[in-house]
Amino acid sequence: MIDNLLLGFQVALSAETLLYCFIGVSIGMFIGVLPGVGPLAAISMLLPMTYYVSPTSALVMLAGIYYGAQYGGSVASILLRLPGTASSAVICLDGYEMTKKGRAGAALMLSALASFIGGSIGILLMAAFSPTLSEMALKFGSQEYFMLMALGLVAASTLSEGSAIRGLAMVVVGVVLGLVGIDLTSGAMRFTYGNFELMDGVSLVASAMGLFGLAEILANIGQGERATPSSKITLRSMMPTRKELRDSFPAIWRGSAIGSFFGALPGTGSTIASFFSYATENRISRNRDTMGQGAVEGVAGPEAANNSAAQTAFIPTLTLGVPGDAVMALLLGAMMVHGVTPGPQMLTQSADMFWGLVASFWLGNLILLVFNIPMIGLWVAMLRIPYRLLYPAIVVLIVIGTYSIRYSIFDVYQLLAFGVLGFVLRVLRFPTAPLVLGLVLGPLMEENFRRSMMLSDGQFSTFVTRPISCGLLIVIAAILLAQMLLAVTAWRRADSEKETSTP
Amino acid sequence: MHSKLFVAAVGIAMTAQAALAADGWPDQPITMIVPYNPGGTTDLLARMAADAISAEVGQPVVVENKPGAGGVVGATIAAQAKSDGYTIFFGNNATNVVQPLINKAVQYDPVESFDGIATTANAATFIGVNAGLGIDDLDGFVTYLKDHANTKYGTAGVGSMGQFTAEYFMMETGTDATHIPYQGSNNAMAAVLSNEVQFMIDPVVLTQAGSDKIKILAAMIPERHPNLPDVPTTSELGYDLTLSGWFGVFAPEGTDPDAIARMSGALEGMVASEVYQEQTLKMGLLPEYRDAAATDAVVAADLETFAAIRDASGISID
Repeated sequence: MIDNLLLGFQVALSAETLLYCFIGVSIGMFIGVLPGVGPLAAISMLLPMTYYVSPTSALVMLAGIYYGAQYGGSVASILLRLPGTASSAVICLDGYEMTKKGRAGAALMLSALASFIGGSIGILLMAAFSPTLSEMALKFGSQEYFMLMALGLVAASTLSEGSAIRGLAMVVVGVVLGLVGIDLTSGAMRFTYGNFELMDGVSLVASAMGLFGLAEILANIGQGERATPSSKITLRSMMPTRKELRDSFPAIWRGSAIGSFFGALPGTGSTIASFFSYATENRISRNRDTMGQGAVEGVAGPEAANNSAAQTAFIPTLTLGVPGDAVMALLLGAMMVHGVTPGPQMLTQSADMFWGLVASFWLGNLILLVFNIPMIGLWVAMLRIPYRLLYPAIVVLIVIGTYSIRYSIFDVYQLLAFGVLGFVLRVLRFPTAPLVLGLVLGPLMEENFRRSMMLSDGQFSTFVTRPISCGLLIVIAAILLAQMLLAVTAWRRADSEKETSTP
Repeated sequence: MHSKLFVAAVGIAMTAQAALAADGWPDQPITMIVPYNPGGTTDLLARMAADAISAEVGQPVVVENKPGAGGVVGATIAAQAKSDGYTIFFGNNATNVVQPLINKAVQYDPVESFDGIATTANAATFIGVNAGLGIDDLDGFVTYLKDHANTKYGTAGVGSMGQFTAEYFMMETGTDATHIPYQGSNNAMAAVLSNEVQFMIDPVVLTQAGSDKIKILAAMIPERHPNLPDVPTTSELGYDLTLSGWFGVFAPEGTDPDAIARMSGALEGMVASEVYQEQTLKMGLLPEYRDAAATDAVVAADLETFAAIRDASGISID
């Protein structure tokens, strides 16, 4: 492995590759910051231009856009409650609260640090265990995917600032919205009302953008001009305190582990990874009581998770030739155009390219970290722009970003509808993050459940007889049981307190 | 008498208008609607075709991506566009044959709504089985299917090319297997790798050449694929089964034939060029030019073939 990595760094450190790496991560970071414009659009636009450069340089650049976008995605989430990418939606919850408390600089610094560590761990796993991890990914069939999604939904009911019932209700709304579109299993059209643009379902980006960003703007319009943030941009305000750092690290390790796992599974990816990480922190971190009120774990964990997932997502793509999401499929297409066939032979036939990519990923992460720190002051300074100027500009950006996904005005209407819905839910004190998670997980869960049923000829026992699926089922049962026990104890305590307080 | 005169007059007027259109055409940029996301196979082919047409007619050809509903969104927009030669459409056999056959919500008619300009490439479909099953050749596969009633195959969804091809294969060989749809052909391929399903018939199988997890049994194309010269064709193996997707350029019905002819000519030159051939082969496709008439003919022929498969297997979206 050391020899291989040396070979990789030889490739990655050549002036040409380094330049393309720098260009890629810069573009990625920039489009990550822009709300709505995702790496998919940027990569597809740049793809034809890469025909004229060497395959390694082309891929280094395109991949840089992909993971660079994960770095940038959290900036707008933290500063403006505006998810730059779907995978950073969950970072809005605590990141924006930190901003409101004048800790924007610290949140950005922690997110850059978490991204770097998460990314580096993902790369390390990729370098050391690619073949093993891809074997592991193949052990996950439809039954296992279903159980994973179920685990996610169970965890999601706690993704809320307020009561669990309200959280659960929002998960259900999300799952119901996820039913819209052509049913994958039967081809039946559900709730499309003859509208072709609804056949692909409710737009995830439009919903995240509307429920978080647009709703935030609507809610603030009535409140007049806010006082300029109290925090002056001093180096001190940008530095996380010792306590913040101490609290972040466990979350970063957990987030990296969660992210690396989901990244390596084709068909899941960084959005699901960041939600899982948030749900985990919400249950087990030291500051779980202050989650949703600006806990550092809510930023560090998911940020580490989505960056490590962005790196390990390359494992199934490169070693099995199976891309996990649309961006990976595009990158795979780019490799084929350049005459490189990803798959089991890539490690032997195109070893220099594989290791060059691995090494360049790490260099890219390093560039992003170094690049990010001086930017923090600039981002925070953006908060000093008066709302009357900032908000219209943001709305324009969100609308353009949403339109650019598939050049459809219908998606802009969806965005506006979700903005209004988000505002109403906010007034009624319903949390919106569980809705987005329901929308992400619902369709996947249904698809995998029904496929499991088709594969097992309708035997429910298939979920118990498969070891991994059974293990996940036990975890879910344990969580539910623990939650019930907690509820019962709390109820009893409240009961006995009432008894003692009554004279 | 009067009516005859009128018809003649209208006829002359129409010819004059057509000639006028042909004379002036094109004096403004042409829009090419692509019904998929940028960066995918169809989009890359479309951009090459757009460049070739642009070079021939001396006006920019602007690609507009209108993805959604398996290409139906873009095809619907194109079908309803003015037939003035300034809107053309880059489709494939999914948008111009399969969807109109299976999707009851489709508003356009593949024959009545479009005039073919040319096809530019064919997809090459391969039969891939999980390598752990110990199947060595196509005969062995057919026997396996007959012996194992519980065999399953993966596809990119209901009504996908993969489903049609697999149903066609089973129809012709008298075999049977259960259809398991996945979100896209790559996820279906992962399922073949892990033996969740046992086989798939899809162009994406090509990417597993040399893999020890998938055995590629045959190519359902007339001649061996240059990228995989060791994989025999179905007809070599005694199975007269070829079924391929294709990609091509269309105009809304009623577009001036001279304009169509000029665009066909440009595409003929493009497909013949070495650069294009090399590029499409790298993408796993086969360069194939059909002129305007042949394009309309392949649409008509495929409508028949696919309707027969649809009726036999009951594939539909409603």
